[in-house]
Amino acid sequence: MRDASMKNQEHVNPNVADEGSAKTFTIAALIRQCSESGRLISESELERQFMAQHRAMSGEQAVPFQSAFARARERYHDLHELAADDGTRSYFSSQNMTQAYAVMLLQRQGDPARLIAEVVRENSAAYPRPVPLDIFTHPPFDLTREQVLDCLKRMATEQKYRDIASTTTSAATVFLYSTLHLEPDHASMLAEWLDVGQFNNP
Amino acid sequence: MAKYGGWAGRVLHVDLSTGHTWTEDTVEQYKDFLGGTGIGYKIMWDEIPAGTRPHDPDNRIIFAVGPLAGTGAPCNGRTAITTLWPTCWPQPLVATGHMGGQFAAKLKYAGYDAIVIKGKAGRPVWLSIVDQQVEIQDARRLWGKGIRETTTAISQILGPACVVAAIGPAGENLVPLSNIMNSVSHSAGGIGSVMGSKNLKAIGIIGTGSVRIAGDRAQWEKLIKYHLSLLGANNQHVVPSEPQPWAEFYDPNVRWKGGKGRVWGAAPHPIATGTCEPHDLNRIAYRTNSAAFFLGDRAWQYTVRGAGCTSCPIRCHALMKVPSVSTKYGIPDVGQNTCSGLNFGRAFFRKFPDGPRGQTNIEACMVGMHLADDLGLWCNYGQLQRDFQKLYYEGFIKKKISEKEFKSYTWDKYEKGDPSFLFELLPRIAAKDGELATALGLGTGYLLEHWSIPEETWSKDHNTAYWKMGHPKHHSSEDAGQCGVLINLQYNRDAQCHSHCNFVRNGLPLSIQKRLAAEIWGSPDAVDKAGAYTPMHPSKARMAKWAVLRKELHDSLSLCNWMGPWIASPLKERGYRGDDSLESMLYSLATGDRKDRQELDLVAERIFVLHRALTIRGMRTSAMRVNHDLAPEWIFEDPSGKPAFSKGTIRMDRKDIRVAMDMFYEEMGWDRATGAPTAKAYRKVHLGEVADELHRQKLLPDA
Repeated sequence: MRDASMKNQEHVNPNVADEGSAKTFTIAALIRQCSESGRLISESELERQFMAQHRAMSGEQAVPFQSAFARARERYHDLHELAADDGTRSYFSSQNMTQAYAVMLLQRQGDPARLIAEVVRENSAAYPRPVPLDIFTHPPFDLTREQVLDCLKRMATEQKYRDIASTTTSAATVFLYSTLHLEPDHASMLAEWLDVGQFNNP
Repeated sequence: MAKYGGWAGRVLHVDLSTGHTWTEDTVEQYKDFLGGTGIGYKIMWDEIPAGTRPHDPDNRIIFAVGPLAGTGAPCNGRTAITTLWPTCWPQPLVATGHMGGQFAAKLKYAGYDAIVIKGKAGRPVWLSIVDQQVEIQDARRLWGKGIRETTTAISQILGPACVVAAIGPAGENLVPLSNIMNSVSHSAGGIGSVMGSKNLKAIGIIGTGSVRIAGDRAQWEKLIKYHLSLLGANNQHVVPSEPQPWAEFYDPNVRWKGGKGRVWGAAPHPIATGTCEPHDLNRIAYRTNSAAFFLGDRAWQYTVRGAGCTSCPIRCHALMKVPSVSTKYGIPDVGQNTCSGLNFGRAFFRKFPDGPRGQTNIEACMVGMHLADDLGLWCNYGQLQRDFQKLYYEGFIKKKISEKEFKSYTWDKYEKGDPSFLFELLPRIAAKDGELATALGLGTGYLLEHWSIPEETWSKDHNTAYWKMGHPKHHSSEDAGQCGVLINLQYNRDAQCHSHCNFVRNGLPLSIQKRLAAEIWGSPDAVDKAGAYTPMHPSKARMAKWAVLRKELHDSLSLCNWMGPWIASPLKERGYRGDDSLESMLYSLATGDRKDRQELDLVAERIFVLHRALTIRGMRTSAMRVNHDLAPEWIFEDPSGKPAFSKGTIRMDRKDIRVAMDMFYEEMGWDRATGAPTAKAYRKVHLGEVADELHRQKLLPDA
């Protein structure tokens, strides 16, 4: 299979004449590569990859990762940190990934019910629109249909998700919305338009 | 002429009654109307005698393109076809159809900005244009053939570099719902029978010239790249349908379907679209997949690639390969089209055995494209199919045709959603075979009249989407509230305007849309939440005026109003702004006739006002407000009784729409009482002679 995706913008190699700069650049490059391929990189994975690369290049066994990492974050302002609920830290580059996408990836690593709820609330508030259940089975969510249905079952019993509601169109497609931002009639009308109406009158 | 670039320089006239052909200078005669619909309206105004009918030899059919056709400007593949419209009810009036494909560029390369055809040939003919050599050729052996066979036959004569626009049996048989098609899948509806009435089967063109750009080459190339950088996907949707690493926003309902994990599964070597990062201008074509948008995720496996018009990177036509249709229906396993053309077959059916997004749905599309695009049938923007459903399920068909004829159709196939039913129906419409097929081919207005069905039976029913004058809505209250309504009031067929809906459906959050709206139309109140409309506001009238002017501008320059305007973009660093001056920048550099946005808008207004004058003269009344600018009853009702301006309805309020019309007429400088342009309004756009003639005919509101 050929991949038609673009090669993202060239990263200008800074002055890497000194060894310290080379290390910071390596760290930035690792984060950017992950972001370009649509992934977050955890601190531990970053350290592992950095060490492997550095050892391969220099043969040194002891590498001061933490200091190089701190310098990289200071130097390259496109590198950002996200912290999960359990304190695990992950990184992304805003050259290749938006904060919004990074947050979705982080939420996916945690409780998928929370991910669903946050996505539904955001869509209901900002556009506003209900979202079809199916979107959670595609990238970057990549949940199975069973996982989604299990989540919904659980969410129906939890107080913190009581604003998440569903509506079903005449084509039997289920849409989710948040009652904090969309009234039921409005959500139903929008879902019917999005799922059926717009295709009859394109 | 040498002073200007852009235009080819000549308008070709063909009198099929005499076989005489001649040319006139485009710039001398039509520069003030740009091209496309502008040339079309001007010729209709100057040349069509009062009382002419669409199929009369005196009617003209005008194929016209603009100064940007055939240049490197993105999305310049549109040909405007202007004539008296056969399906405009209760009386034919001027209207235009538009086809993409390669016709527009080839016409320019052959040295013409327009072809004006009048008269009627004594026998079937086709028009051969090989640069300056114009010949009327015998088409008797092509008469009765489908569009595909006709295209192939003419291509064998002219060679592979030609473009062929042809009609099918529907046009030959003077079926009003018929089209003309070029380049396999690019059609303009409603005018096939006008060609048929002139015994004109096809136009084949070889053009070996080029279009001169008046401005500096480096500046031109820079402008083209700038324009490309602002493009979104089909319909200028500027966010992807699924979250992508680079994207702040996404919208599951937009036509930007390409993204991480999406693959053209039927390409010889399957192709992943990638994430479609918007700065990569060489990958714009991977964003759109019309098949996936309309038919669901299943369509990805059948997608070969996108297809489209000259110089358009969007590729909105989906080329599909569906092997099962060869064995099941005996038709080729490949087909391509978009929008209503793609949906032609499936839209007849209320349901399919495997659901609305199943395999049968896709097969119905393939069968529909195979038949309709060869027979040359037009769907009247889906109204044919909606009419058919209502006529059948509400018992009209059974009542209106003989029992014998009724039994000649296999209705249980239809009810089950079996695509093979289309083989029974569509060829009969094209052949006017039987009462049902003949009535369906008339178009809605004449069909209802023919069967003595009151128009209100349609105009009160939301599900018909019927608007007025025999035609449906085209992005009305469901898309932009009062703005959509105002636009749909103006035209003599479905409005075909996308300026407004491409903005409100672009996928950006409402807060950003409101910010951009404030910059363009002076207030964030120009746009509302979908299905939660607020009362009329002057900025909505400004948006409506802007929308129709952009439409006429695009149709006259040969830019695609399905893809533009480009007032929003996918670029975060621009705050998602597009550029409302793109058209004037492209026009100025291409032609050398420097005009800023306001100056070019004045030309667009001239073209739109001339359309209004043609309508007034055709209807023989200036009382447009009460006789022409009519909205159907259904827009003032809600199926569940919700009041206007409540959340969850597109219901409009009568009094508010009256206010909207007042504001729109005022914005246009027209008379509020009649909705007709005043003498001052005509003179403002340099149509003083038009005002004088209307004055003589007592068709000015202030006469």
